[in-house]
Amino acid sequence: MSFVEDKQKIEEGDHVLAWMTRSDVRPIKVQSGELLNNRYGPFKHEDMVGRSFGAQQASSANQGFIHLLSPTPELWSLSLPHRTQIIYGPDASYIVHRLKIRPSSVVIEAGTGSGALTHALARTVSKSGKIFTFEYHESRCEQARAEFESHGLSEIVQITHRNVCEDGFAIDTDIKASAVFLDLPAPWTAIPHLFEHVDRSRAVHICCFSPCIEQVIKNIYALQAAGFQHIEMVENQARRWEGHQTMVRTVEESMDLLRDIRRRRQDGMDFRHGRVEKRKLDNYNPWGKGTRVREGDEGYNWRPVSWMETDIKSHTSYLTFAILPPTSPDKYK
Amino acid sequence: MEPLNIQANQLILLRLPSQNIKVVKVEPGSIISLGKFGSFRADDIIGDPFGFTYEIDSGMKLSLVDNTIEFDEDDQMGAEQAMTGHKITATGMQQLTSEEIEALKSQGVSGAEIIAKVMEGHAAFEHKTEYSKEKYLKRKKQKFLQQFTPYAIGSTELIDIYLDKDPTRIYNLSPETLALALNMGNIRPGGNYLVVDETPGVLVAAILERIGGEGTITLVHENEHPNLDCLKYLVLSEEERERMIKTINWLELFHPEESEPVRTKTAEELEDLKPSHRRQYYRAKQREENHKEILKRADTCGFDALMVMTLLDLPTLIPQLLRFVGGSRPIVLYSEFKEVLVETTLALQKENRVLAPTIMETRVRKYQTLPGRIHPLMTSRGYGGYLLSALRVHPNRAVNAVGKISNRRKKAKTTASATPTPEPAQIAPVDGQEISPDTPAIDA
Repeated sequence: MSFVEDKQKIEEGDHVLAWMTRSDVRPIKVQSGELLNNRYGPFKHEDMVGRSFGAQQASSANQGFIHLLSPTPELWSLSLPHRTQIIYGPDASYIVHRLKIRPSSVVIEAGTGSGALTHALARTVSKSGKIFTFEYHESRCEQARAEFESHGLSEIVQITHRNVCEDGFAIDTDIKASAVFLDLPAPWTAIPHLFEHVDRSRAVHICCFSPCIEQVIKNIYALQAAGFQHIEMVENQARRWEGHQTMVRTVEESMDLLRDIRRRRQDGMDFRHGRVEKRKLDNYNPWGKGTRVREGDEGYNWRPVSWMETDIKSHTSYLTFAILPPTSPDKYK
Repeated sequence: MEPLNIQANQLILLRLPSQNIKVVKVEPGSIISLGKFGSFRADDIIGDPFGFTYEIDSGMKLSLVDNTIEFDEDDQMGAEQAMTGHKITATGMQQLTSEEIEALKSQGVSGAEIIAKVMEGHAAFEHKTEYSKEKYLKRKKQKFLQQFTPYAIGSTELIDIYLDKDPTRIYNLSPETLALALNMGNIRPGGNYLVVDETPGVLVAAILERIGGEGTITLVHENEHPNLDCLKYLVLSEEERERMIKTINWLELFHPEESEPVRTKTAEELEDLKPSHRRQYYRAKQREENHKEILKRADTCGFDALMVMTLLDLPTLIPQLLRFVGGSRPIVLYSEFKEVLVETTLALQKENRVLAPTIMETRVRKYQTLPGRIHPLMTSRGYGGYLLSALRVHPNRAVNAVGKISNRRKKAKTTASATPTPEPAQIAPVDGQEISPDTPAIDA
């Protein structure tokens, strides 16, 4: 299963993400006899078996190609069915970093939502760690459970259908988490339930993910009242660019163009007045006017530029981080 | 790697109320001095778990800070009323002189008591609004509280240490950019990563943290020996270091034929060697073995990600490294300057071995969180760097021929295809050594 380990070749039953464009990435499970259909035509699953991950495959109708990619949490978040607003890459990576999540960490996540962050957490804690994730919406919970199973993450991720704000985090397994992530409408109501399910022999890191400032205020009060320290609230602003080239057009060339127009107009007048023979003068055309110039074509001057994505995520949520100190040793009592 | 408890002789990071940081070695029997924030005995914290904030009381006695606040329902209301009250913001109303404060300190009066005295003596403290009281208190706390919080040193702390010391040594890398690089690189236990890190090893340390003892980092370096200075801050055994970090320089990677083989010595020759020379011989042999392994992995597209942080020219360097990286594996390049990454993107777009090169920036904006006066901080660090992230893919000659024709025909209809139009001349890669593990199976 490539969600859990790196593989070179595609085998029957593997998860493959078929990349058409960034906004069109489709998750498939390779099964001989099945077809993937898109605007480039049909792609046979059996043609994928034995190929390398990263290979290009042409459609059976030879009308285009896809790339066969190995699933990662980042690619999965481009292709997953959105059941809720998802947590995007730059937020997810910062959360993993700030909560000091490492291989073998034990993490509590509530709610699961579309499972985008859960996949990123599972990658980092790996087989030696554990994610206890809670989702109050029953059908979302079942869909997420099916995805984790199908992605080979059942050993790492344990999902529970539960409203943690009312019913807390107690399950059959004894949870001793070192990191907690709360993406709930009212995280402050879940905070008091946490104490028995976090590892009190060490520092526990928490992050409350709330879009509104009113929620942040309540989170901060609840964290302070629960003995959390080093409370810090941040927001993350991320941007993406593509590299492109824009034509360099100088004013000297512009003046030469005007001179050229003037010269050719004069020549036409000279011909009409019988001063010269009819002739074809070379057209001065430094910018390829009238021809179809493609970005980067030779014979022109280009300058590298960056294009920002047209729709930016200007606000995802406020992230409130805090640390719960361990239980005091006797010598300080 | 990061122990959960403070160990004897460990290098740890202390955060002080002034927001300053200090790296100290916890030597048994020693006294650790924090300047105006006081001193304490190292023995008192050895064995404690990380996560406590300590207060230094008189006689270097330590107690744990517990700032749990109990709130009434009315607290918020009170705060709102206070906002409409009259404000006195004039400074200089403090009655206690700095000499008097120093005298109190030398008598062993705690920071909290000094603050209480300062407030008592403040002529207009009662006339301040709740807000300015809170702000005043925070300023005084930063100045007088004799507190410190120990942290185990990991990648987060390393960044803080270098940003504090000399940001240029880590090319102004921000923690959030490093975090994004690790996720985009799909770093996880068991992976084998090709790494170019010209910082003192901050990227290497961060990857070590994420592989958790399983997997390898192959570090390519530009001087004859690698600079992994920052590893001294980590708790990392010699054995772990040798098992997980393999090093090779550019010449050894691209021109192994120029390296002189280490001549195998007979048992008798080894007998005759001085012990130090014998160790040297074994080290050289081990290095040679490591290089063979690295080159074998490189020749079979065996790396699970390419992670780069260097000032070398990326547009010419990266195309030469692509052939070492496996299919569908991430390529993550860091630069302080977006311009460098734009040029690199353009160089990679000419390749059909790279999918969707994208430049990314992530900036964390911190907020003041005093109740009732939440707003972004007025100033923060300007730099932080940019990432170029892409995926290594295996081009397929037959598909490209198809793609070329259909692309021209369909260009107008389909907008912005993620892959650049492949140019036939570039199908055979520049290095001429790449063999796609995929034999083209489709007739053009």
